[in-house]
Amino acid sequence: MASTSRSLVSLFKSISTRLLYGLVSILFIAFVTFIIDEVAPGDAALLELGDKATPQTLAIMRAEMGLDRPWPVRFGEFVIKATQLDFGMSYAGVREPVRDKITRALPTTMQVAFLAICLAAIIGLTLGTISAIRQNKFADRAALSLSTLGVTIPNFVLAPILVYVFAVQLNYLPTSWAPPDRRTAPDIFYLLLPVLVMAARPAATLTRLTRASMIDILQQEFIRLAVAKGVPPFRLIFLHGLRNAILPVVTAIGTSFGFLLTGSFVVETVFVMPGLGSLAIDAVRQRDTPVILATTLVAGVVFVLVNLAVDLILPILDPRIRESQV
Amino acid sequence: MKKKAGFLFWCGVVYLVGLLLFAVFGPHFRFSWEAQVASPMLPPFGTHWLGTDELGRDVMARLAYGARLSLIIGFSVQVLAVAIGICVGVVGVYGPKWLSTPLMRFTDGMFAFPDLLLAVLIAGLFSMGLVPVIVALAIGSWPSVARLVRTQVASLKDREFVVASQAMGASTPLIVVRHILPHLAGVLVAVMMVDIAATILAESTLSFLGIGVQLPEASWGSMIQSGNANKLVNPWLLLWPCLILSLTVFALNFVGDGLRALLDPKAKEA
Amino acid sequence: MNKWWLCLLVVPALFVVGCQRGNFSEQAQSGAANVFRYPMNVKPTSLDPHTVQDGDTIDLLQNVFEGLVGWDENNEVVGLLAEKWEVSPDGKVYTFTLKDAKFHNGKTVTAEDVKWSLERAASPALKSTTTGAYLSDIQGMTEMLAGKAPNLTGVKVIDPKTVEITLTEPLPTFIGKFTYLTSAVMPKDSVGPSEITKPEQMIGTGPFKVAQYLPDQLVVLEANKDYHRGAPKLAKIERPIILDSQTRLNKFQAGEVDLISLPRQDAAALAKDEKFKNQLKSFDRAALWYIGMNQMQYAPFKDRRVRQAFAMAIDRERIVRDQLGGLVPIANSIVPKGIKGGGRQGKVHPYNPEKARQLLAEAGFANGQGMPPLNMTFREWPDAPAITEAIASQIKQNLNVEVKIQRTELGAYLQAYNEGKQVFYHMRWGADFLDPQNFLSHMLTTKGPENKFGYSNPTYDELCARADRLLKWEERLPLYAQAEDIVLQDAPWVPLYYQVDYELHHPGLTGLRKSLFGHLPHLNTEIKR
Repeated sequence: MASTSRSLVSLFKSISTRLLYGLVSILFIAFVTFIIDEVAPGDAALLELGDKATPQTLAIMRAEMGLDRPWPVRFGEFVIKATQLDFGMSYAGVREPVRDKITRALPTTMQVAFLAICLAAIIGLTLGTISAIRQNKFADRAALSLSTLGVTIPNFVLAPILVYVFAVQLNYLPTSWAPPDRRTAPDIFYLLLPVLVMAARPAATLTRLTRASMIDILQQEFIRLAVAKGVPPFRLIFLHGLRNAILPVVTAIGTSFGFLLTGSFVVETVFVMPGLGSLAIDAVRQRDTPVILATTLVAGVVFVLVNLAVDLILPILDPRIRESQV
Repeated sequence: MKKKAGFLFWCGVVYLVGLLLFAVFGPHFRFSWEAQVASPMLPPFGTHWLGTDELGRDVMARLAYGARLSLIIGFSVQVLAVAIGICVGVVGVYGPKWLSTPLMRFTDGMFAFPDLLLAVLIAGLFSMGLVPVIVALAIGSWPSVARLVRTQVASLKDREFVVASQAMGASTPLIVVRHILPHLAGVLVAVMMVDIAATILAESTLSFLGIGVQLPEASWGSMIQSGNANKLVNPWLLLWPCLILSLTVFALNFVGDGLRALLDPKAKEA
Repeated sequence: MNKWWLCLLVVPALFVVGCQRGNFSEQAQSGAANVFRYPMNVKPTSLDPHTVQDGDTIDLLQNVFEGLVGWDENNEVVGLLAEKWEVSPDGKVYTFTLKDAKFHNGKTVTAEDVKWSLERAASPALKSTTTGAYLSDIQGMTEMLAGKAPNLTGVKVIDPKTVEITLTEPLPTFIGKFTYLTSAVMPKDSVGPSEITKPEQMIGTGPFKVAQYLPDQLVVLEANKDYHRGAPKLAKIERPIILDSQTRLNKFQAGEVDLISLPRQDAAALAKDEKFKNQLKSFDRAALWYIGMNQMQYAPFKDRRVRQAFAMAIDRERIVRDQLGGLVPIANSIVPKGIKGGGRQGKVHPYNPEKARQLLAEAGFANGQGMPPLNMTFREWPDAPAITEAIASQIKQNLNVEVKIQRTELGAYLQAYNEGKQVFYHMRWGADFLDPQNFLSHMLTTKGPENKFGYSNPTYDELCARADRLLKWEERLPLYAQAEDIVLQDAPWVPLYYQVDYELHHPGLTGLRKSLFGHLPHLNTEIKR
């Protein structure tokens, strides 16, 4: 009993430490982003008015956006409001609360990103294992090349090609994503291409990682011992091999979420998905500071939570880690 | 058992050597890369082997110039990332507890840094050019290097030769530089090769966003971007840079894999 | 067990499967009769006609809201809510008679609504930037915008169907500016002074009402059967928001949308495509693309001969032919064609490299020696990089002057432009309203608000000042023509080409009206499938 409560306490402590570090990191990132936005020439008012700006109109617009206040005030206010989940008003476009923009964009991106990571994990584990088993044979080379292919063509070239072939010419798939209430076909039609394109890069990374990890495990002594003892090879691969090899892969899955913002905007542009990535890039282009900060914060929080989950799952998968953590 | 480097590894090496030669001599080989020598949008397989671009410049010469820029960008970003990564990773293992734990946690947090957003933002600070690209991409790359370094150093720390040096009274920095880093070199070089490929690709995405190389210079990324815009008129302009980019990425990956297998057959991945 | 050759079987299998077309589009997206689907290229920047600025959003809002006057297909000002109007002999008082019209909520339009709407547009709480730009000729407007007056003294309600507007000066440009959507009429007290952010607040008099608004995704308009000029022929307009031009093209080819705007490069390619060339349409726009030379930042530009040398060293015809595929009209004047007095064959400097070199030598820079380093900048628009590069290389070739191209991030570019720090730049000026004043006086007179490049010529100023104040076209135009020739000879700008926009139209699309600003409200548009 005592040890259970002790490990629960230490679990709680480690979760809170991680959360704390995570939040501090995110705040730091947000601050750096804010300072750079401050220092860079131009601002949201100038970009909205463009070449028709005059000193008078600029002054009016800046007053309306609240840009005429000193920067510590603006950043401080943003942070304080952010803790209450109020991110202020967007500078660009229709003046609406930033929170509304995020609540619309986040589920769209999360759905596709989550499916993409799952697909990437499945592809990565499968191809990686095949490669490891058939190391240096044709299957290995084929699997590696296939996965590398996923990263060699830039996705802003690949996506339009896929759309042109499958949607425009062959007409099997819709030409773009559509919001759930305007779909006239099962969801999978609308999600297939975006998920595929988003999964390409992580799938390649995970394939390599699985392959290397599995090769490593399979070469270890205890495997050879088990083979010598006559344990059937499939059981070995799946029970022992995969279970051990999966650890760095799970960590890598967590890290891939760091690309949530940056990886998704190309897919979102081509497939007309109003998600977090395109929201962020548009905000940067228009210097819409509240949106820039809010998307950075939200993506950062998602990242911290996902990695926290990974850190919690790892000890369950591998008791050795559990012990080294205590 | 020392593995023999495979056929693909050597293909990659040959290709990369060829690419280096191309980058050095190509931009002025038959035509100059920046001169508008002919009519625009000429098709390939004529006097201009790969055709001409929208301003009448020879595509092949521009690809060679692009090779220079892309390789320079890829290389500088990785060197920068590795330098930072080594410092952080070593401190993460050998540093005092109060520093190393927060530092590694900070590193983990930095994975979430939106490097593309940053690149677009800082593009306004420097009058456009390679600096924001290199800085932003390096910021995006160093965390994974740091993690890798830390894991490697942590496992090397307990090996016999290190313990022996310590017993003989060698100071920590000496141990790090003389014993640990050389063992690290192999893995790092292999990882760098693959990451250079990723960096070159990231640079093409930045060109898609409209920041990066200055006109009239060209990188593969900016050639892909303008090829993409003109693809209905002349799809060749998109094909050539994509092709050379793909081949280079493949080559870098094969070489990187081969190097990793050669230099440290028992290397554990991060 | 190396059955790698099995993989090769995949290829012919793909061929067999791949050659059969699916029918996703037919099942899913075939358009209904009389529902016009065309994408928006940007997210709407505003739902409020009193603050909207950009052409794309205006294209949406002008179907819902109207002012007293508007443009027609001949680029003339016609009455929308106004039946007619009279101008007093001194040119300062406009008396508008209103039509019988109803708002979307059934209420009749009265002069009170007109006055209320103009005052709302002017209220300091709204912080509109367009009201000051377009309506400041109205008496009392400047005071109200500054918060010094509670209402507009220049707008008087004579009776429920008559409004009298008094100007501060008898400016003939007023009526053109009055067409801008910032003068849209809304029901009195229907919304507060802060910007409209919800579709329910959008009550206007236009041929369409807002049926659905999904932010960032879609706007749907439905017909207003009681529209005062007759019910529109369309039942609905669907405007999905699609920012990527390739995606728009894909959707057009798949039959999911009926009209798209095309970047010029795609237009060049599609003009040769058998399937599409009949669906390709071009539209003139009231915008000039030019090269600017800033005397205040680069001393040699102060010398007229240097500017003329540069003007003669640029082969404009070659640029239009090679970089622009011959798809745009070369500009030989400042005022674009379509505007009265625009598009004329002005006294531009023809391409003449020898004369250019001679002039440069006379100015003391023989063979380009002694010229300080020159940076050329451009605003990030399609074609701008290619054109800038071409010009830089022509200058180098013809004058032996090194021009370094500096690609600037948009925020930095606009800031530099605003502060007058651009040196040698490729830029565009789009008309705010269709009058030569908006180009010649606004941009190039010594005190012109947009003159940030130091050009000053007293004769030019005097001609423009006179033309700005006269009331009759036949008196104004010859003066503007004279002035234009002066400025073309002085060459602070080198005009390149007028803007032309390209679109692809569904073959069943008819009745589309356009002015130099773009589409007009879709009164007669019809789509037959």
